[in-house]
Amino acid sequence: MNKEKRLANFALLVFSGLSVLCLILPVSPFVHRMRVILSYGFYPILDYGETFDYYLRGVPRNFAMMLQADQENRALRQQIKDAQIAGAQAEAQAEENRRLRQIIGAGQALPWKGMWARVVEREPAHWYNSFLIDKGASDRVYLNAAVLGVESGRVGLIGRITEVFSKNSKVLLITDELSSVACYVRNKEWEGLAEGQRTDYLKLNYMPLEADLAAGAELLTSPSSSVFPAGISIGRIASFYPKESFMTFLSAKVLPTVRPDAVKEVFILETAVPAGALVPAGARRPAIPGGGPGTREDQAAEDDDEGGGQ
Amino acid sequence: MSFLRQLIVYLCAVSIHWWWTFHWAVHGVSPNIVLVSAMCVSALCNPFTGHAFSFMAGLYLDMLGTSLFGGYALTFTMTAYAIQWFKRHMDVVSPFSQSTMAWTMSVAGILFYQIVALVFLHKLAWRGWGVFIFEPLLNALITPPVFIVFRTLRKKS
Repeated sequence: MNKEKRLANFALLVFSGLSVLCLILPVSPFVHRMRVILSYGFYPILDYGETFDYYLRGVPRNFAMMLQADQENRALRQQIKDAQIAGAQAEAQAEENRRLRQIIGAGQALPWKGMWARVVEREPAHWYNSFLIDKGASDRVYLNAAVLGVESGRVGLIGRITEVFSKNSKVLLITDELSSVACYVRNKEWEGLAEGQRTDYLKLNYMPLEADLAAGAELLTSPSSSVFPAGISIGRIASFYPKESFMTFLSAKVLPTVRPDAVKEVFILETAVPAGALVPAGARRPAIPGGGPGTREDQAAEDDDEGGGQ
Repeated sequence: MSFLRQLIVYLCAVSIHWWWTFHWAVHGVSPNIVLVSAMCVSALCNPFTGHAFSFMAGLYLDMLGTSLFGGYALTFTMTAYAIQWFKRHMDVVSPFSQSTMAWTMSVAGILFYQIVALVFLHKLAWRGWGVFIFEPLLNALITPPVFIVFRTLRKKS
């Protein structure tokens, strides 16, 4: 027990002496410096603001300047990141501005009245079928109104309105399998039917076998269509399907003038509204296949149903 | 306990203390785990180990402060000596006596630190009545379980 007591007394003397030495010697500033260095090394907090000077009190000037330089460096890096983000946003806005100016220019040249709308939703599963726009019954959007698009300064048919909601409408694209548009070849008398295939291309059917067509010929909406005004560009013939002995008409592959998947804004035509197509705000009506009774598009759809397609 | 094990225990104690005070302190009040650890080591190990551990534990708290480097080291060294004295004169095995010892040492430690501050800084280093009242109570509460942990560690070594 005495030995333990002596050891305790000895330890007390040693460690008390060390403690008093620490208290007497001016080690507090040194400890503070070391602590600042260590803590900054492990956890360099940004934006000390006014407290940064207090934090650096007693720290050697060179080291304080190094820490301040590090702070400035971090702040500048952050500013560069912010500037890059702002630059990217500005670039996107400039691109949008350019596109909008282009479509406004093209829109002013259009002989039809109408309104612009933005594409607000595309479903990947219905990429070639339809999309939603931000105008609806409250904006006086009607069923079966023709929808145009602008791409690289070219104006072309995109589709038609098939569902009208209060604030939105659904556009059935010309590339949808259920979509068909009566058309004729520019400067020619032959008429046909451009049908969607759920791909980038349309299929032109019902062209007479004797029609003298060439690749690149432009297709326009036909005056016989009750849905679309005449003279809207649909696309250009890209290639012909091979002729078969049993075929009674020509078929061709048509590249749309405006790719429906490329547009962000569309132009909805204010056309003569068929009786009964007016939809009150907030109401939703089922689509009318082919745009109305007695149209050539309806007749083609009926033919397809009866004959099982071509 | 071997030196390496003591070092690991010391690092664990200071880490837990830092984590607790950083995350769980309520109005600046939290149990002084470093002090409780120092008391447990002083009660369980030989005097030199107890004093050394307490001195180092105090030095850690001094590192966290800025003005009175060595104040806690001296206070904890005195605490270790007092624990050694307690150990020779009374039972430190039952939880009640451990809690009593922890409360007494905590209060005495706070008062002693004020004296050290008065001598070397010529002013008090008062942390408030909340700390003075509740920290010793929290120390008294956590001492028995911490004691069990340290005793288990000592037995295993």
